[in-house]
Amino acid sequence: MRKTILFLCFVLAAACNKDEFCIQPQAVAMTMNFKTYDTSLNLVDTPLVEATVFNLDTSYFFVDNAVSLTRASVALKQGQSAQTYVIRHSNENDTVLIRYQTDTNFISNGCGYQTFFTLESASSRSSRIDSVNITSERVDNSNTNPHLEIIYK
Amino acid sequence: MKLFISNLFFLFIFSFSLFAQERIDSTSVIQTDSVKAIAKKEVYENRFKYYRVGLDVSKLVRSTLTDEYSTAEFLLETIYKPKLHIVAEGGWAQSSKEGLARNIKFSSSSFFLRAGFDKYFFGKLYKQDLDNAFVGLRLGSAFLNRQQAEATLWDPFYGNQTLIFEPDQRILHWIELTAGFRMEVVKSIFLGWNIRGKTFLNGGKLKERTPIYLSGYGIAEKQPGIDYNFYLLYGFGKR
Repeated sequence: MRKTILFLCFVLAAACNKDEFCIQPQAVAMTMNFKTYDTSLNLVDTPLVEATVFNLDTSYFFVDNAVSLTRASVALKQGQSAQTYVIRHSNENDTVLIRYQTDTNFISNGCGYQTFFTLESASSRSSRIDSVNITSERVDNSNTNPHLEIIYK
Repeated sequence: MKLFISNLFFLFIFSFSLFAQERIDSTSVIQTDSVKAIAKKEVYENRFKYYRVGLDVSKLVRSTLTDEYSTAEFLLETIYKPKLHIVAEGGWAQSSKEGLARNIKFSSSSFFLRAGFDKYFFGKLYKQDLDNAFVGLRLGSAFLNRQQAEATLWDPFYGNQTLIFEPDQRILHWIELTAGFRMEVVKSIFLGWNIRGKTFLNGGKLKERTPIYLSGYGIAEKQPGIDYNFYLLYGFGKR
């Protein structure tokens, strides 16, 4: 009798269909690092004062009036190939244009898919910005280093 | 001197007995081998003369207990040797991934064929006895037909989007080990169960958009999988 009950328990356990569950995946964001040249022409972090960062195309604000900002994480938009971001500080706006490619990444049967990005180019016409460099072109969940270096004059 | 002669005598007797024993042994080996050789050439005369067809009752019960899938499985087996049965199994299934909570939604249908053998353990208690336990091996293949799928494309900043995947067909293969029992409850009517452990040979094809249930394999997301059957069987032919 005990063996029969054990066998039935085993069979029922085998028959159970575990529900698919999803722990919400980590957001994929591109990190900007604000830098400038010091007197010895070495690149150093420069804090932007009362800074705001937002997407010009979607008006999505990533940073709103931060007292001091040396890094900012922004989201690229899936389904597009370019986005313009506005970096406002000291009551002036600077714009940065990012071009990129997208690829769809399978997370799990419970969660679905998310988009990873590959940066192609970054540029700015602002007079206060010296240059914009891509330091890590792959934007996914595995890289915590800054993807973009925005160098101020 | 007497001791030496007696020892020599016993040594002679002992050697002769050993020689005689060797001769007897070698004769018996020759005889045994010749009997085995003759036995090997004999063909089991009732091969493919007795069949059992079966329906997996557990699958019908499970289909009524869930709205995620419905399935049916059948079995056909024949006696190849007294302790070796050839088995073929088949069936179909329909499954559906729906609901607001799901991030990948689609429905699918599948059918399968399995073939292999069961090796029985015990000898017969009487001539017609077919109650027995077995272990077996199967090779299974299923044809999966997936309908259009909708999947969530996560975007916590700008809002999630929906991906559409066109319908798709593919063939999956797996191998499985099984063990079970058959028992004749009334004349020609048998009850039996199988427990099965199985693993895909090309499971990579099911990594994305995995159906809830694949006919013949069971819960497709379990890799390796475990499944079971409770069969009701009817036997016919010459035992």
